[in-house]
Amino acid sequence: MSEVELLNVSKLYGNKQPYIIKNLDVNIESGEFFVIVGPSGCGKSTLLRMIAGLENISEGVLRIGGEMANHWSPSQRDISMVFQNYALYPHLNVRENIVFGLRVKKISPEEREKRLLEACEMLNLTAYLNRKPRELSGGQRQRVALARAIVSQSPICLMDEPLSNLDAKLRAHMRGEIRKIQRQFGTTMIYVTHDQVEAMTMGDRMMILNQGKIQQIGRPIDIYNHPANTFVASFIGSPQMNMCEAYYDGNSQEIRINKDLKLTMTLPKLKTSTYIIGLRPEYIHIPQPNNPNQTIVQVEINHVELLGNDTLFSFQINDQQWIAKWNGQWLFEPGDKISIALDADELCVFDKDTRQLVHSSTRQDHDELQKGVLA
Amino acid sequence: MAMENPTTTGQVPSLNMPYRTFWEKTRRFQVALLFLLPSLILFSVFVFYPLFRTIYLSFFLTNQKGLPTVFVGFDNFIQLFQSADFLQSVKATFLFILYTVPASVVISLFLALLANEKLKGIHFFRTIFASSLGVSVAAASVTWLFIFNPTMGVLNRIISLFGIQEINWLADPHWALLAVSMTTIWLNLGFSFLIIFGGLQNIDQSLYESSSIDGAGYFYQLRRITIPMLSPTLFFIMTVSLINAFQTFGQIDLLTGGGPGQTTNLMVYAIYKDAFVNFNFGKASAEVVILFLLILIVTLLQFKFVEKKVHYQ
Amino acid sequence: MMAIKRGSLYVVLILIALLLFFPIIYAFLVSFMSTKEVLMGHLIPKSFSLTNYIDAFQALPLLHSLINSMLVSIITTIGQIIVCSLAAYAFVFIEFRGRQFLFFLFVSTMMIPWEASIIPNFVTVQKLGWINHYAALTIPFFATAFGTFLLRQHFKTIPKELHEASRMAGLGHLSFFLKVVMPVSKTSLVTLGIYCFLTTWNSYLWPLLVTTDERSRTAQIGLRQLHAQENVTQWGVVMAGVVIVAIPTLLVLFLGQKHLQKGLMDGAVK
Repeated sequence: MSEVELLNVSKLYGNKQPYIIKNLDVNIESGEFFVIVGPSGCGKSTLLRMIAGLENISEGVLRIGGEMANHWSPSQRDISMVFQNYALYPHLNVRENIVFGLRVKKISPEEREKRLLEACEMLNLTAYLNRKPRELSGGQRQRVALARAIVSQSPICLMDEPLSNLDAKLRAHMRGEIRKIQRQFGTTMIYVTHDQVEAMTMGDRMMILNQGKIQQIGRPIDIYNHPANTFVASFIGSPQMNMCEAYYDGNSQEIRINKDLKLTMTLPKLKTSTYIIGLRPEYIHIPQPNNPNQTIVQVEINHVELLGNDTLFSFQINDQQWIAKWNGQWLFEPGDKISIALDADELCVFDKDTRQLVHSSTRQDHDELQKGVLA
Repeated sequence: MAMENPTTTGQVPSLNMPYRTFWEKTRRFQVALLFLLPSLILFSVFVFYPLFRTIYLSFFLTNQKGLPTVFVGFDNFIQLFQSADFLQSVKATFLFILYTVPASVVISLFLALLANEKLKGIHFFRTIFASSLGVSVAAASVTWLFIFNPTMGVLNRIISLFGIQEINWLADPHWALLAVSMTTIWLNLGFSFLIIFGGLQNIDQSLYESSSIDGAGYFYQLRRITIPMLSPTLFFIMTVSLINAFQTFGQIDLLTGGGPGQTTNLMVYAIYKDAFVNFNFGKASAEVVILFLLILIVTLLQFKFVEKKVHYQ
Repeated sequence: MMAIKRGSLYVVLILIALLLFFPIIYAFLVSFMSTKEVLMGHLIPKSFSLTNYIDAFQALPLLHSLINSMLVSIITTIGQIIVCSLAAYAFVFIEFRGRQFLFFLFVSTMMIPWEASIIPNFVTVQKLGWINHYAALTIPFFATAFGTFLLRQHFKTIPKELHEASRMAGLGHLSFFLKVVMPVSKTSLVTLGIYCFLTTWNSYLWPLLVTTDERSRTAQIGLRQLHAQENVTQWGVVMAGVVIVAIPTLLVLFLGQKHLQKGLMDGAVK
């Protein structure tokens, strides 16, 4: 059953200004962890706030639990929300902050206490119940905000960049924590972030938004492998996907990147024309002897980053800087000329004008391999 | 449900809600109005209505009860501008502003700079510097009245130590306005100091640190950092002092009663006498209108000329 | 070098502090002097006898006027906090059509000095029958543009997410105002309170106009009468009156100076 349904939803301020959100259609399933991701200003927070009831819906229909909810007040929607800055009441201690909403809803003191203790135990907050928010660390405040969402026992929880004020280590920890809690309660989670790592690792599905329009909705891994357009391709993945224009010749079945670099490739559906090709940094390989799928090319390195476990280096392809990611430590210097291997099968091909995906490999979907590893 | 089976074929279901009544649409306005109502009522009764009423009265002759009797057009104003007494009170007011406003601001700035030094016990000095804010016009005036007392007052005792002849401060036309100004400056210092000092404390310390690394000295920092950063505060305190100076009443009432020879008959005091001693509301209203326009013009001029030079962060 | 600089700074500070505080010290010292001592022009009284204070209380219903001042100041302070915080709330937390206009209207009242409206206001108060009543001394000052601005500046620092979180919890405007905004803004309410108390306690012209009988006079007017009565001879008694009238506000100022300084700055300049 779809818990939250958006039909043709648009948002604009005033009457003639540009749309913040335009004709958005999406169904969010019950118990799903749904991530909305996009660059800043893409309308993702506005969308979340429309679902919460904090912003009006200019056009379209919002349904919650199957019922039209456009004009329900925020509290009628039975939704909990975690804000980026946590929105803790500075004058109340942790205990009062957590049960604030329950008091408003006139839930009995016994029940309040029960839920409070349960949530605090889960989030290790029991020792801090009498502290004020300013006496807490960033991570603790974040957990109080989570606890507040948990005790409400609302079927739907909205989170607006809840981890962006934490340091990297804590963020990684809380990603797992939030996912665990969401699974445990079966909450329908709508989670807004600009961080693609969060989007990739936490979501059952994710939606990529740009300039108020849906770019793609799907399982994170599918989006990674088959980005719907060049925006998604460059937005998801770090370092981002390498791209450049290339000419596909249908007769010779060759994709020509430049005069030295041609890849043989069969693309029966495509006509001879110029396309944009994309290749993820990890698909630029170390040349292996006797691999017929490989095309080897010499490049001149102009920048190297040693990450310890990986090495990133960049080089010029046509007018673009490409980045390659190799496992292990490679002590290259700028100016070194090295050979790299490309595999035509791993390319994504986009239409030059519409920038939509026209071809992507299915090789990366490791279903077969995975079966071999699973016990 | 109003919206069964909404189509997804690009036809946007209109949610401008034909069934939302005017009452519902303006709900937020109504709520806001409830919150604003007490203020709005009070402002209407005690600020806006009186303003228009004053302008209205200024075109009339009034009777003993202050009710308008005969419409006289601009006669009240014409008479005022022909009256030496009124022109004297305008002149005295401007002189008074000249004596008090710049001095208050400069002295307060000096005090604030001193109080901004990091020294042990500086809090005590800050409290002393602000103390005149806690003294009422009446209390201060009565105290200064005694300080100015020609025979018993301490001021004449001090100047006689230097061999200067005793001065009859409040009865001598040459000195009376200056004496009132001294009292006023002292009264102003507490508030001005507090505001300017607050402004100083708000300046980001790292500006000083970084300029010290560049080798800037105290006075260079004062000129290039402190004063520019403080300019919004100085502008504010200048405007406030100016408006306050226009409205001076208590000092005059207690110290000189407008004398000697009208030299300290500032505008508000003149208005008070015309309105509530002579009960000539028409004339007094005309004076009020002129006072109001003067304040308006001076503040606007100040905004126009000074604000350009003010550095806002 | 540092020691010399510091030492000279202290000398300057002490000299200036003495100079500035002198009128207050002087009033205090004279309040203990006999008429004879005053006439001789002494600086230090021979003994700290309280006769002048007793005389001051006997010469006038000074105690009564002190109580009047206290009550008037407290009522005005509470009233102003309530009225101004309600208005400030609307400007910060409710988005409504006409907000800009109403805000401008509030700004414009700053440009209208109280003196400009004093004649009709006197008539209004007379018609309302408020002469010699606390109402005349308090109610007209409940709404002030300054107070509204000061609080608005502080309310604006409350994250809007706090409002949104309470909306999601089901709080209406009034409960959000009472349960969150007011407690969170305690410090700025105190600032406004101190400022309002000081200005009300010290106000002079308006109380002079709207109180005519002795029992409803405020302390400032009491002081005026004391001075008028005792003008020539009893300076010690008059100064005792000055000290009595100044003590409450000086105390409030000393206790609340930090609050006042921070709060006034925020309201004024930001």
